[in-house]
Amino acid sequence: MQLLNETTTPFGPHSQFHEAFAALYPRLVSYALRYGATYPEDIAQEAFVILMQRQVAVDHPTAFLYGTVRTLALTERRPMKNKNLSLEAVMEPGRAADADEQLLSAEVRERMRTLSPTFREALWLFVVEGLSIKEIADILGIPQATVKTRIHRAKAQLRDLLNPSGGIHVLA
Amino acid sequence: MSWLDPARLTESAEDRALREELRDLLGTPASNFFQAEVTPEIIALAEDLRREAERRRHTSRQRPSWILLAAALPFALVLTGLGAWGFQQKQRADVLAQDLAHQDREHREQLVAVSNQFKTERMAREEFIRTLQKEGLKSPRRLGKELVIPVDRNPIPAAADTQLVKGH
Repeated sequence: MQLLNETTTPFGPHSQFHEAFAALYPRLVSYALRYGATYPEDIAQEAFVILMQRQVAVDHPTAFLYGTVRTLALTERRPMKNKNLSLEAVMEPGRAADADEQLLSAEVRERMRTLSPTFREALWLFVVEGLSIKEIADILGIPQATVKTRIHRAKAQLRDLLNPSGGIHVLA
Repeated sequence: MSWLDPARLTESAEDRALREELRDLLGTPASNFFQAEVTPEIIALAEDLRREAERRRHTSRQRPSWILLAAALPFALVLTGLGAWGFQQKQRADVLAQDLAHQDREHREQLVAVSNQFKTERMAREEFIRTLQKEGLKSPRRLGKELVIPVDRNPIPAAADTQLVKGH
């Protein structure tokens, strides 16, 4: 268990914290936007403050940030439950078009849209955000084996989408 | 980039290959995920957040000691009072129980002593009765040999002016 003081950050010295912040902050804003957050910048900044506020260092700061953003974004939407908005609706790519457009082309967005929300989330974190299986398991609060299963099922769905006739186009 | 998490640095080749395969399926371009330009604006924002975290860390440190103590004090006093009262009651109950046991023991001892004495007396009486009976059987009855004093019914002459009241 590593204790943090004022001279160190969860990412190491201050210079490395600046590098990490520059790399992660826009991605976290985009991630919050995917969950339909009204104020994604506030949520991303709050996640950084919560991480830095901790006295004890976390094992995986990036996973902690993504997990915190996810929780805060879902909490922000909680009052809207009365309007029959579920996580399925939140995860619809159409609602997070702004976030997707920043990172993905229209074709990729269309392919992602065909996947089921559960598989899409794991696939997004693995491929688009570039996180490891361990980090995704931490963020979603599920075992690593489950993350792998979801990613492989997403891959199978993508293959079916690209090859609906069972491999004819490959032969062609 | 040294700030990257160990989980990603130690990622297996299999996972990397899987990511590349999925990227090909999706058609996303290969990119270095965590490389970004560190601008002065970014540094200023990062420092603001770091200072905010420091401020919260210092303020949140003092909060529990004051608030928790203040909140816990009445409960602690009530619990201490109840504990002391309960302890006192238990002490009293123990003393009473000891007294009661002592009295009970004394009563039992007295009962045993009285019972023994009664038994001894009864045995002595029975022994005495048996002795008497034996003595009575051994000695012949001395009927008619008792001293008999004749009674004169009119030993005193009647006075002239008196009336005789018939007696038994």
